[in-house]
Amino acid sequence: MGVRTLPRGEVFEKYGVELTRFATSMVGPSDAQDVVSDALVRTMWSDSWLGVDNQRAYLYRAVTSQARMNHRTSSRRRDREAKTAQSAVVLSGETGVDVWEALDHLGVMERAVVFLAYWEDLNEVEAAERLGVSERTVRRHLGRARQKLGRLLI
Amino acid sequence: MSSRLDDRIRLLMQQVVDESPVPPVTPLGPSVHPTIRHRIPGWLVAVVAAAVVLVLVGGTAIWLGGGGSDMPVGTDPVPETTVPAAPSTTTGPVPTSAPPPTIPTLSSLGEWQQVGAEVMQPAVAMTGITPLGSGFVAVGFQPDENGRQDGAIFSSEDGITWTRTAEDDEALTTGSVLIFGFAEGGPGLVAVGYGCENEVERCTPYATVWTSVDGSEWARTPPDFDVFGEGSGMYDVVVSPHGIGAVGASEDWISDELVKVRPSVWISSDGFDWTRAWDGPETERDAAAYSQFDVQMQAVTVGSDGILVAVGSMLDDQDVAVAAVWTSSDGTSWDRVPHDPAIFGGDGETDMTMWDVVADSSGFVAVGGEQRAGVTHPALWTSPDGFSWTRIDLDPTTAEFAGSFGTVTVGGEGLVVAGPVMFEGFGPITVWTSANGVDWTRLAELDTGYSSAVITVDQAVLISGSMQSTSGVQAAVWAGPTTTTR
Repeated sequence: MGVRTLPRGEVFEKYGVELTRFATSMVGPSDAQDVVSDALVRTMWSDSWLGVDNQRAYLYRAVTSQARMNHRTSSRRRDREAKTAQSAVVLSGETGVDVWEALDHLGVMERAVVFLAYWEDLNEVEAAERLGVSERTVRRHLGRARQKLGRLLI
Repeated sequence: MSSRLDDRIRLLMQQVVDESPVPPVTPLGPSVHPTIRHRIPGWLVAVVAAAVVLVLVGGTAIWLGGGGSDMPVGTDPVPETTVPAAPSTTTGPVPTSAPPPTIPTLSSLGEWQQVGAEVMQPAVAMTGITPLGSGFVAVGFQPDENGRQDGAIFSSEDGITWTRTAEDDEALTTGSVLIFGFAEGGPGLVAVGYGCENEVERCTPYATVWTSVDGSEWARTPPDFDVFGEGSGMYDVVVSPHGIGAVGASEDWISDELVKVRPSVWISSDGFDWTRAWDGPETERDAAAYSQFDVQMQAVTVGSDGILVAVGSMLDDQDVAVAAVWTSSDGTSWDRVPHDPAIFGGDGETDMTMWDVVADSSGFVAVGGEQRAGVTHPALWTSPDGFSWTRIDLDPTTAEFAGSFGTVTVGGEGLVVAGPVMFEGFGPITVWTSANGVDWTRLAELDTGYSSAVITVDQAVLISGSMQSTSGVQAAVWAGPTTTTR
């Protein structure tokens, strides 16, 4: 494909910021860096790394996968955090809806496609390529996410 | 269709990025998405920014993390959030038994108007409206100081003047209360939805029933895991010869894993004691591959012969959301009408959902939406008996309208329909009528918002929903004539 394979040491420098923001959309700020680090370590030191054509898309998929695993191991901890957070519920002035709780209603993949569509302004084709899924999957997750958020944010 | 929703989602992503543990995009301050920068009012940005500051000052990195969904990367399924499936936008109570009341003020309506705005303002959504005795009751919800939802009940004798009732009722203000369907039955009124009674810890909603004699005082079914489950929701209720039936969806959890999402039915003889009557068949597929919105019973009605018909959506083998119909002759045993892609969707290109169903003199009419190329268009089906269904080809103008048929009732020229539904986001609330289900006349285009239920009384239409206003978002009821000229 003509895409140069970056040395491992340059990968984080090039993609670290955007991957961390992407991870934040899925697991929150407290776990984002860990998720990215784990994903990079798991990915770049695998045997298949040097054969990857599109490193950027590959890393996005790795971070998405790591975010899912992170969710499973930390869901009970987040429940405790949520209990603590009750004293600092954030209400938006317009709807009275807690914007963070709004994201709580989305699955990991729904958060991922929302981030790519609404922050990175990727279209369905681009988001599908980035995540390694079909356009249809992106469209469906985006539609569901908008439905859920529409109920909560409007 | 909903640029306001898009703006809010971008604002949400803005907060995500601002709280991300990496440097901001711009050196001068938090990064601002270009679209937000141009379209979001400054005061709104300030409000959200202040909210972020409050969170940070609170010293806790808040992330009420949810669960997984369709995930082709990796192999492990992940738990979904414990939020139940999408609520129906219908109330379902079709006046099949008692004739509707005659209301002179409604019958003489010459044009459409919003009614009761002065008392409905605190509520942000009206989720249903139904005749009760000689008047009407509407139900919705409003946020409380904890960010959870309280039930909001309104009554009217004439459909024009509305009053708030049961405002501080404990059954409507404890924990979280989201009512999505209600009907005249049981002790007087039976309302269904989901909620929790937990005031402090995380709210894990479950299917809940509220009952009232006249709408002024309410009782709430106590939690019962065996009956109502966890992460379940009821979205419509019908009073039938077989008892009171509620339909919705249930989630099966094992530890932190969401294993199944299934359509579910509950029944009761009196509105107080409920039985989990039926759950949809288990599937071998990975539950994480679909969302709650894809598998659910949205609405239910009863035909003149006592046949119960529920509509909603399921996923087919290709993970495509398809319209689904279930029937029952006794309320406890249900069968899904065999799937036919030509009728219910699933051709690999479109998602299809049925949002509402009504019994009329010819059988049954179901309405919904078909998503093509990212745009939802109206869809309508008819059945003489509940078992065999036909997809109706709408007139070209209506077929290309951007938005679902969300809620349907008998009246006007034959049928009256309103849309869009809550989960499509806000759009111009549009009301149609049709004599044959094919050719449709637009009765009105109301405010920007969504519709949740429609009823007809004499020659008038009442619609419940939610709308944008200068002060934000508010619950609303509109009244108008069933014809375009009067």
